[in-house]
Amino acid sequence: MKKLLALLLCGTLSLSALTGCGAKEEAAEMPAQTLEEGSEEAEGSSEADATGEGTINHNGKNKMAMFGPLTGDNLQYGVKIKNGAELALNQFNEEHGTDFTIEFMDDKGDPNEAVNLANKIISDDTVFCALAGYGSSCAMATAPVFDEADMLLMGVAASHADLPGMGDYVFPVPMSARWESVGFAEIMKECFGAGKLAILYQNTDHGVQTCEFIKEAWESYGGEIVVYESFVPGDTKDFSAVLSKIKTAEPDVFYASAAYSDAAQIFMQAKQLELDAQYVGPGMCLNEEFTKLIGDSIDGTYVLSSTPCFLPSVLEAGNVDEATKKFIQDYEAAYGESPDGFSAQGYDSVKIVLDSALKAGTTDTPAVAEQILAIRSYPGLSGLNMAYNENKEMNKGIYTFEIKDGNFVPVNQ
Amino acid sequence: MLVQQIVNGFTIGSVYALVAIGFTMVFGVLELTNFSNSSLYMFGAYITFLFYTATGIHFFLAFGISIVLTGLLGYGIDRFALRQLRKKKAPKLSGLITTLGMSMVVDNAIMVFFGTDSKSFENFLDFGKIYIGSAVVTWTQIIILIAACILMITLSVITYRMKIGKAMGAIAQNQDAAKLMGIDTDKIISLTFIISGFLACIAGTMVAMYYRSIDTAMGSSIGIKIFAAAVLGGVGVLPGAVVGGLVLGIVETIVSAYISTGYRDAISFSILILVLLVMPNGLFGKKAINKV
Repeated sequence: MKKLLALLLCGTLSLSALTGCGAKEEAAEMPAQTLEEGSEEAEGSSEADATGEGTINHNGKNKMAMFGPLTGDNLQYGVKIKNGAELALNQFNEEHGTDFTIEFMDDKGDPNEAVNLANKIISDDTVFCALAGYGSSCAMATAPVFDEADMLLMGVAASHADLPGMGDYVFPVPMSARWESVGFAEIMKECFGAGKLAILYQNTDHGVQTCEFIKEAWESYGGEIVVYESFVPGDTKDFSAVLSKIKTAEPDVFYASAAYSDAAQIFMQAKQLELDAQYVGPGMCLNEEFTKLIGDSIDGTYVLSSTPCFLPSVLEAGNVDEATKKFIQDYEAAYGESPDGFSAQGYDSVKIVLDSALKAGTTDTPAVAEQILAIRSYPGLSGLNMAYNENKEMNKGIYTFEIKDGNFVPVNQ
Repeated sequence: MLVQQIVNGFTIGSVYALVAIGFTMVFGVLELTNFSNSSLYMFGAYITFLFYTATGIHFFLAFGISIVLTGLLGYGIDRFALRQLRKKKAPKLSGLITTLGMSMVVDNAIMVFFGTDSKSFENFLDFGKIYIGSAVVTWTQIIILIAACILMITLSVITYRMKIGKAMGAIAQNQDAAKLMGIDTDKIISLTFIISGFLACIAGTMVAMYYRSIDTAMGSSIGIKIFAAAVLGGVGVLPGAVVGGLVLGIVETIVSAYISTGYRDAISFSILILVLLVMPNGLFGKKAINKV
């Protein structure tokens, strides 16, 4: 019996080894795990398409590679980004008759894993562009690898202000933390005057950096920072001590940089302690769970964001352009769920690269990068007036929302 | 502001106290560090949430069912894991690791079933607030503090005055001898776990009401504090757990109010270490603890 089993195992092993070889040969022509189902189409079409109506001469470099968290704690973001990117690629191919493909890899949100994947990506001759799926840490860990290989790297959700400086061909898609913070400070100044501001931020890379910029900007307006405190996210559930401290400082505006669940706690506990100030929260709050947590307890709070809000309640209220409407419809048809800001960023990332490649007529890195850098007012879905500056920093307009009856209501400026 | 901060500290402290009582009780009987206590705390809150939102029954009925179920889970942990170890005369360390494992099982089961996002929880103890000078005190805070004290007194009476408490003390001293004296040790130990489950559920649900939300990390974030509170008060001593919890809460609040919020835990744990250097058995502890 045992012998039989061993024989069987041997058989399957050698079989799989054989097929493995076969697949490898094929992979030279056609990247594995690609989106486009038609492997037969890829064989003959590469020349036809290169000279076809797409007029992108890619010389076999027609693949994009995205690494992001498809398992683990941040999986929900990774999946949203992946779907958005996939949708953008399919639409582009359909429209221009091109044969671009995208491969998704799972980095579990871990920078070490991301670097391994980055090395794998640069060794693939067919890849012309890498997309760092989620978070600044993974994008920044891999940036030197791609820089050395002269490969284009798009930071789909990496807003760290230092990322653009980490390579000649590194482009973040979300608004740079620097300009976002300056934008936030400016809106707070315009809406409530440059008075006394209290800042409570989470002790993470993002929290420390953004609040430093806000503080700088606020002081340059002549405003005063009365409290500037951090907290450890995940470890802190009771904010009453620091909120009481803020209360005694009597600020005019109270800004909390925190993930939605912490932000909800902070604002609700502040309300309970009768902290009398204008509350302002970051774009991380723009989701349904946040509204469920707060109920109508903190009406009047402002939420500032550089990405638009895809909540049904906001969309129903109008102010949605045709492109966004179409995106939502297509996304829902394809994935059976509604998109969010991350889907839009995934969509925009792929769209920016492919549009630029179309303009450049090639997928050569310097030419595409030149076109991306020239973007000044891009009609993207993940922001207003998307534009790169000469430092490759992304700049966008800021959306302002006020919470009314527990819902986000856009504020017209 | 000082008054307000003391009120804040008392509230956080009474939350710690509520959970620490159950923890310290198991330790008092078994000399076993029960890491699954904080998971029972989260479990209790989630079960209350489940029964209340899914079936729409009266909240306090849901609360009652949840208390019973969490008690049963506490019993299960002892019956199906720890009792087997006792039978095999496994070292104490195995028990400790087992409770850690059990805690992971419970945590992950809740995560799979409910998802990892925070859920909003209605506050049924919201009877408005009162003012002491400029300080705001809510009735929820007062009720939590009172609940901690009542539970402490009830349990103290049970463990220090009643026969069953004597049995617990006997088991703590020597299990084999207790058995020879006719004490059904397994039953008493199971009972201890059931009571600690009850307490964890009451604490979890009340804290959920106070913060008006629950999340799967609520147990793990409080776990280390509970341990610290119990050690500070003297492990195994019930009033010690309450006092330890309150002291820890107040120290934490004062540190984050007057020194730094970011370094709150670092500073309050340093203070804890200093206290233990001077009083190695905690504030109320008597005998030296030589077990895990």
